[in-house]
Amino acid sequence: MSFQAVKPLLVASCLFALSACSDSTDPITPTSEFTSNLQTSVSTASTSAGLTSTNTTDLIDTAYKDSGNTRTTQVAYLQAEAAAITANTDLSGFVGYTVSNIQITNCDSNNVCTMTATLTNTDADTTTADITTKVKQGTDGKYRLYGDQLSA
Amino acid sequence: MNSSLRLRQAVLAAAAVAAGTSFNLPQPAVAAEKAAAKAAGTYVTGDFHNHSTCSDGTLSMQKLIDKSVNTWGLDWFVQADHGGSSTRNCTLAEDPFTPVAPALGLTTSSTGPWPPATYPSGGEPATALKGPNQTWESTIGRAAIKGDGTATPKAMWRWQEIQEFQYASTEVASRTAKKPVWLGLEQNVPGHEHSSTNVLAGQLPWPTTTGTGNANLQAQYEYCFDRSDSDTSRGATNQWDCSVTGSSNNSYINATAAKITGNNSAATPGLGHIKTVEGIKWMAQVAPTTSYFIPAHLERAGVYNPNGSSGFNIEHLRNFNNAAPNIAFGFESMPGHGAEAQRGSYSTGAVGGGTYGGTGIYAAAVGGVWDALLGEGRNWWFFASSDYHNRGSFGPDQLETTADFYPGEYTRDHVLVRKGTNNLSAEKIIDGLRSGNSYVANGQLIDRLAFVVCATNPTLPLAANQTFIEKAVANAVAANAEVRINGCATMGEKLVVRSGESLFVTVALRDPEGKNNAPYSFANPSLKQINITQPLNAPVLDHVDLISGNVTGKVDPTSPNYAGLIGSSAASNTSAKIAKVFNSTNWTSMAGGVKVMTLRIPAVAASQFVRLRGTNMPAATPSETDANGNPINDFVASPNDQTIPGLIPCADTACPAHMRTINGVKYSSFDVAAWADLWFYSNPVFVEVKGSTAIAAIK
Repeated sequence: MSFQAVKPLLVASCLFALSACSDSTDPITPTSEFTSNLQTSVSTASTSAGLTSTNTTDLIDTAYKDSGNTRTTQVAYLQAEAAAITANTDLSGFVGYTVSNIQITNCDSNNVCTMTATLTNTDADTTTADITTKVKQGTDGKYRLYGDQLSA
Repeated sequence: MNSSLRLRQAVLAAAAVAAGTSFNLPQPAVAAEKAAAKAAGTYVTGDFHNHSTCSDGTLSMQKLIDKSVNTWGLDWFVQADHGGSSTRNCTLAEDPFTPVAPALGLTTSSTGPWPPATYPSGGEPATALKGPNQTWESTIGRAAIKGDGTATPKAMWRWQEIQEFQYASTEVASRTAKKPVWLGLEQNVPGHEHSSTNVLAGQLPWPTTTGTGNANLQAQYEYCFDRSDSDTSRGATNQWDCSVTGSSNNSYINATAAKITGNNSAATPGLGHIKTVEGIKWMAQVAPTTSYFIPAHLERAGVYNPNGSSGFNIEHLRNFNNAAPNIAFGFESMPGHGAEAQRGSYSTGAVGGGTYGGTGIYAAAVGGVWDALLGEGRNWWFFASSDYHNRGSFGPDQLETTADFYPGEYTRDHVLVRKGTNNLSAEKIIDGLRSGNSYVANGQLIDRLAFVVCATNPTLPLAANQTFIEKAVANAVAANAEVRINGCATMGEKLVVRSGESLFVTVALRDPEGKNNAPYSFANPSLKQINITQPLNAPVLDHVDLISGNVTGKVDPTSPNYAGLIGSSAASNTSAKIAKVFNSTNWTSMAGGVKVMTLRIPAVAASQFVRLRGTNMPAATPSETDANGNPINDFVASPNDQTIPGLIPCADTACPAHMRTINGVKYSSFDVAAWADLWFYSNPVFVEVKGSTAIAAIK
């Protein structure tokens, strides 16, 4: 798909997440990039390559903390998961999602924001759930997952 | 070698022999079926162990079936009388059959005289020479009764009843009710006490509406393997042969009867058990997907006796499961007879000395027999039955009882049946029983359950995963269905993960609002002890125990840990524990009585199982639960000796007259004690961790 073809979609996505867009007329907004990257990360999570891709690991903020998991341990977890998938063909895998309706709002002075989204699974019955999590905008303008900031 | 010694050795080697000739060997290790491959299912309620006048019950089959699937609303029902012989024509309905009198809701029991003299034990006015207590001899004539029985009135062998009379009535009842109703057998088990059994093949219950089926195989099983069937005629013109293809134990078969005619005895210790294992193998041979063998109230008769027919030890359950895991896949450790003075009809001679919150000690004790079997990774599931015989001091149409609850009135097996868009069928129900995707609830404590273990998606934070999985289980409960999502396993299944995987154990259940089937609205006397005022007919789930235990692999029949009594290493799983208690402080309450709860396992390291139980009794409820919430022996509150006062007064003015009353004080007992103390049990979800123990028997 060409950039021109994608552009309207990115604009729409940015408009939908208006509060997070620094320039709603710019199709290459941080939010749009984040949306695309997150969707790719989640949708390729069932593969070893997807789990360890730069795209996936780069979505984890350096200050990420999620129920005790830091960026370091989370990356290690992804690598272990990828290795297990490669080594075993009979694993049950984990819950797969598609992500939609990503919105970023309520950014604070530390650039920590609230991300809402809809997760969908269509393995057999269609299940959707609206989720809320934290993201942080880095100095490079990119949004990354920030975790719940809890130690356990 | 004398025959006794040979038999002893044969029993010791029974499992090995069984394994060597077993049928339906465990499937290779595969993860829970992919979600898309699972047909849509729904949980349905049923019961497979109750009695009519075909054996030692008090009602006709028609009335019992009507009570089960119409009055109490079960979705399916298996009529399972004892084997042996019977003098009564159970196919004759009560007269009048419908409408019945006195009608449901009459409470004459509180007005006396006591017991009410108005209603005969049959419960209804009976016209002379009609009704289910009439003998076969008086209704069809002695000459029509086959086999070699000689008593007067002549008893009909149960195989003939099943084959020629009972099946036809059942088929009609099923098609009339438009629900799957079929014939089973509560087998008098050689070498043991009882077992709920079934060979469905040949029977054509609803939704089949045309043609005529038969219960020939069910009848043959009864002839061949029921301890009380001493007929040697080979089923008269049937000329049955009870051998199992390729079995070395065919050498024990009596040539005339074409079956093993002996039992456990001093002369032939263990022979009965061998015969029972042969019966399981026979089922696997003739009807591998439509048979089951589920030991009933298996603690009741005490420990196993090689010289008699007593209870079941863990090694016998292992032998059964080894012989045919698709046939022997569970037990009724929650017995019927819930309203008897001696709850469950257990006595102090039962293994464990009684029931515990209505459940036998094999399943009630955390780390006990059930957890030992699950710790081997066996497909060994928990079931319950009503075991209806009669209403004790009351008539069958009264709501009080001092003996049994009707099927569906109090105890229900909730079984996931993958019927897709088709009608419910007996075959699919048996598939559901075999799958382990089922749970049991008493007193409608809960009526919906979704229970999963899911591996978290590491590309999203944990809270996002938790939100999604909790939504999935809530949806499943709303639909009375299961979660069908890859990466999740539910009851009877296993999740295969790497060591270190992050898991969520997530539960949604429904504590139904409104009243249950109890006829009493006065305050629960057990809860009254701790100053909780809660109507007996409106129970509230207090908490749910999540019980976990390690899976360390199957025990070899030659291991010293294969055989043993409760408390021994053979019958224990020391890793089993209450891993989490869910209650109103940590579950999320939703509309309609739905509760959602989650435990996170941060980094699973060993293969294990998780299972649930829940109750309306808080921990440390005097005479009901200990400090950890475990059920206490029911004879503590309601002593086996009826001359001894109970420990829980029933002081409300509405407490019925039939309560145990000593020196003018009423004590919670009989049906009140049962309605007061409610429990549910789920079957387990397994987690197989790579590098830890493989759980080959579970899909």
